[in-house]
Amino acid sequence: MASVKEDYEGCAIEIEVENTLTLNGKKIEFTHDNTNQTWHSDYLPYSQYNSLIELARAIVHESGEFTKAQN
Amino acid sequence: MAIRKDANTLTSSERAEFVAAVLEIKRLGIYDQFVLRHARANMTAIHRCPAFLPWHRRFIYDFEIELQRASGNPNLGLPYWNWPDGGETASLWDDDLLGGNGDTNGVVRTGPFRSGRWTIVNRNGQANGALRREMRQNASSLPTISEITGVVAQTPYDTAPWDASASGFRNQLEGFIGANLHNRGHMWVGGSMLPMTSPNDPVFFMHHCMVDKIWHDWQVAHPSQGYQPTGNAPFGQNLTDPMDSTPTPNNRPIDVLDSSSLGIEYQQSGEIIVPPIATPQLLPLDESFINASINIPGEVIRFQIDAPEFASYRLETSGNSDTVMSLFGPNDARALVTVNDDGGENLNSRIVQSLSAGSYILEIRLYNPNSLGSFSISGQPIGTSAIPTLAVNGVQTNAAISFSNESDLYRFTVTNPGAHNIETEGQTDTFISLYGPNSQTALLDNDDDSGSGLNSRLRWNLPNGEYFVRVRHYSPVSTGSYSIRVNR
Repeated sequence: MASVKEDYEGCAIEIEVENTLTLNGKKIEFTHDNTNQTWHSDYLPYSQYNSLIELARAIVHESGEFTKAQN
Repeated sequence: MAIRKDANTLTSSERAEFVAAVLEIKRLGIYDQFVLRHARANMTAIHRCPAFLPWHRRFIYDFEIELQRASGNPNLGLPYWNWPDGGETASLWDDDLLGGNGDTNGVVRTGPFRSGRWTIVNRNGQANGALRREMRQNASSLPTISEITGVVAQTPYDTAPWDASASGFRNQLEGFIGANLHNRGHMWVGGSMLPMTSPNDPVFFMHHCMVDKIWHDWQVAHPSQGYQPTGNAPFGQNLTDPMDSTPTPNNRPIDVLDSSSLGIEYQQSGEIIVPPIATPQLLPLDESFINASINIPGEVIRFQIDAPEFASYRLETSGNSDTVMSLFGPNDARALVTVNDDGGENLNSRIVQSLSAGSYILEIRLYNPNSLGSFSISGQPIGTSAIPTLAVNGVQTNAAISFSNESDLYRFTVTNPGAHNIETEGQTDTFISLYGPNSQTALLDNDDDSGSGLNSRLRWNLPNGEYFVRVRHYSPVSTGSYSIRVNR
C-alpha cells in the first residue's frame, strides 16, 4: 500500500508503505500476521483486522484517545 | 464462599445489591483502579498467552472481594454472563442490572451505568466521557452451547509457542483460534469493551466470570490436565512465575488454579455440557496394535499402560493422522512424564522412555484440534535398563532430578534382616517410595519430609530380599541434586 492520509472522525491517520502508522502525529505500534494477513495493536487486544487502515480507523473510533469523549 | 450465578437468574434484591456495591466502589475510586490495573498491564503478558486465564481469575477475584466489602455480604458472588442466553433481550441487560445497548453514537443511556451516572476513565486515569456499547456491530453472534462444549473438550491447556497462534484449550477459549469465545464477547458488546480499558463496562466482570467458569468446568472435566507451561516459557507465563500487574502474595498461576480454595462456587446454568471422562482402555505392551479414531474435534483418547518392571519402553502411533501423545504416571494420572508430537514416522508421535514399574495413562489427541482422524497405537518394552544399586552401609550415591517430572529408581539387597534407614540428604525437597521385597510394584511406604530439612527418610524392618526405591522431587516442576544412602 502506498502512503495514505485520511481524516477519520477528526483524527489524522497517516500510513507510510504499510510499516508506519501515526494517529494525530503519534506513532502507533502494531503487528502484522503474515500468515493470516491480519493486523492488530495493543490498543485493541481482542480484535484483528484485515488491513492496516481498518485497524487505524478502529483505534480512532474505539480507543477513546483520538476522538472527543461523548457524554 | 462466593456463589457465582447466571446473571439472568439473579433476584431483584440480588441485582440491587450487586449494582449498589459496584456504584459504591466506583464512588470510592476503587473501581477505576481496576480499570487502570488492566489498562496499564503489559498487553501480551495478560492476553494472547497462557497466563490469560489465571491473571483474569485473580483480577475478578480481587474485584469480588471489593464488592463483598462494599456490600457487607461475604457471600456476594460475581454473576456470570451466560452467553448462549445473554443476547440483547436477556434480562441482564435490563435497567435494574447492566442497562442496555448504546444510542446511535454508542452512548449508554439506560440503566445504572448510563450517561450522567457513570463516567469511564482512559489509561491515564482521566475522565473520558460516557460508557459506550455498540452491540452486534463488531460480532454478530454470541457463543453457543455447542461451541462452548467443543472448547471444553480441547486439551491440553496450552502449547508452545504460547501465543495467539498456539493450539490448545486456552487459545480456543481466549479466541484467537477455533470457535472464539472470549474475544467475541468483547467484540459483540463493542464500544468501551474493545480497548485495554474494557473493565470500564461492568459487563467486563460478568464476561470474565463466564470465561473463568468455563476454565473451571474444563479443570473438572480434565483432572489429569494441568496448567502449561511449567517452565522455559517467557517469564510471567510459567506455573510458578509471578504474573504481570498482580499484587503479591499469591500472584502466580499456581496460586489460583483451585477455585474452591479461593472460596468460589459456580452455580451451573444446567445447560453447558461438560464432556464425560472416558475410561481408559488397556494398552498391552506386547507390540499388538489397537485402532482408535478421533470422532469429535478436540477429543482425547486415553489408554492405561501397566509397566511390570523398570525398563525402556516404546509407545507409538501409526497411520496418516498427526497425533500428539502425553504420558502420565506412574500411579498418578496428574504427573506428566513427557509429551511427544512428531517423534514417529511422518506425523506420528513416539515416546521412548525408561519407566518405573507402575500404572500410566497415555493420552492421544490430534495436533490440529479441529481435525478428525484415525490411528493405531502400540507399545512394547525395548530393553531392560540397569537399575543403579545402593550398597547397604555403603557410600552415599549422588544424583539429581534434572528436569520436570523426573524420578530416579534404585535397588538394594537385604541379606541381614532388620531395621534399615533409607534417606536422602541435600537441599532438594525429595519424595521417596519403597517397593519390595522382590517386586517393583509392591509399595511398602512413601515419605516426604521425615529426614533433615526437606529430605525423606524411611525406617523399616526388612526381611531378606531385593528392594526398590524411587526418588522424585516433591514438586513436579522443580529440580535439584540430592544424595541417597541405605543403612542398617
